[in-house]
Amino acid sequence: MRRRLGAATAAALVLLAAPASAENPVLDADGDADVAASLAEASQVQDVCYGYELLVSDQDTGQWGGTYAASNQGVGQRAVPGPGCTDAVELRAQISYTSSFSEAEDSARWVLTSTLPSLTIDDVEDLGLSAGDLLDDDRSEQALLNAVLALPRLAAEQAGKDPVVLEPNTEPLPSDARPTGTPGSDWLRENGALLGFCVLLVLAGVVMLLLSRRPTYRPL
Amino acid sequence: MNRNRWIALLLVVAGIGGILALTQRGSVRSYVIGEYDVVSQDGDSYVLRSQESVTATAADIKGAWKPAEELVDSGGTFLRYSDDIVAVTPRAEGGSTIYLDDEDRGYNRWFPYVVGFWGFGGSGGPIGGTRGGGPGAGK
Repeated sequence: MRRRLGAATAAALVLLAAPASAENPVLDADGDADVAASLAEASQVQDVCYGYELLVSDQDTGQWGGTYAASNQGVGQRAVPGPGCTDAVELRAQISYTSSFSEAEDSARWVLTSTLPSLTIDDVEDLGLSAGDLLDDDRSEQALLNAVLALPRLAAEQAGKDPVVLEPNTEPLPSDARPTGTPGSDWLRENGALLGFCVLLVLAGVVMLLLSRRPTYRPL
Repeated sequence: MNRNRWIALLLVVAGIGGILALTQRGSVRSYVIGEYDVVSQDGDSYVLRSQESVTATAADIKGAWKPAEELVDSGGTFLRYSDDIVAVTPRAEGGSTIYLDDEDRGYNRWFPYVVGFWGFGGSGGPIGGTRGGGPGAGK
């Protein structure tokens, strides 16, 4: 009884010490809503439940620690087979933020739990996505979105499910709608490394030419 | 002419040749139009067909020309380039359809899917630094 009381007290202290509400470090409420809406549409077409679960261990500030989820069944809901779907595919990701006093590195990994046997995490990673991207603030949101939202397409390609066909927009856009950001030069993005290498070749050649023209001193 | 000068000349010629060869590379637009079957054309906008899946087709295009941004939806993949937007979507009969548009038309065509990521308008707020968040300083 005493041990039980002690355990309850310790648990209460831990709860008091924990932050009032943890924040998803990767997707905010809008992102989760986007995921849920898109997956709901796919689930209707394919009779498969889709979603993600993100477990965050934050030994640094504690601000981000928690378990987060979104699926076709809604924000905060896990993807499990049920009345709405006979199969379920869920991306389960885990992020560990270590204490700033620790020498250990932050880490991230993910697995795919799927009742469709032909669908594996390798199919997700073959798209060029990596769990390590979840640690990069600039890429984590897009990496998780792309990984989760690719699942219905992969199910169509790997497991023979009906594809989700996108409908192009035919409605007039809002007056303030416009693309933002500057993607930068395609040519430089694609050829920048090779261009740099070629310039180095030219420079090396010029330097060698100049050195070879230098008059050599010949002792009398 | 000594051996070093020959090597130096060879390096200069190879470097200049490489730069000239790189300038002859086209664009993602010319690659897509040359590689896939054109189904229809309207001005700068093309609809093309691929016998391969969305994943394989998008990987082929990305392999030829690296996009600035990639957005995945449950039905397809959107690739953003400096002046073009390429969308690869599945066909119910198999294979995939490729939509090649300039930036404005592509944004218009795929507005419901890309709003909030590559632009804004209506209720879709601006993205790019405002969503997610993260712990900031990682290790």
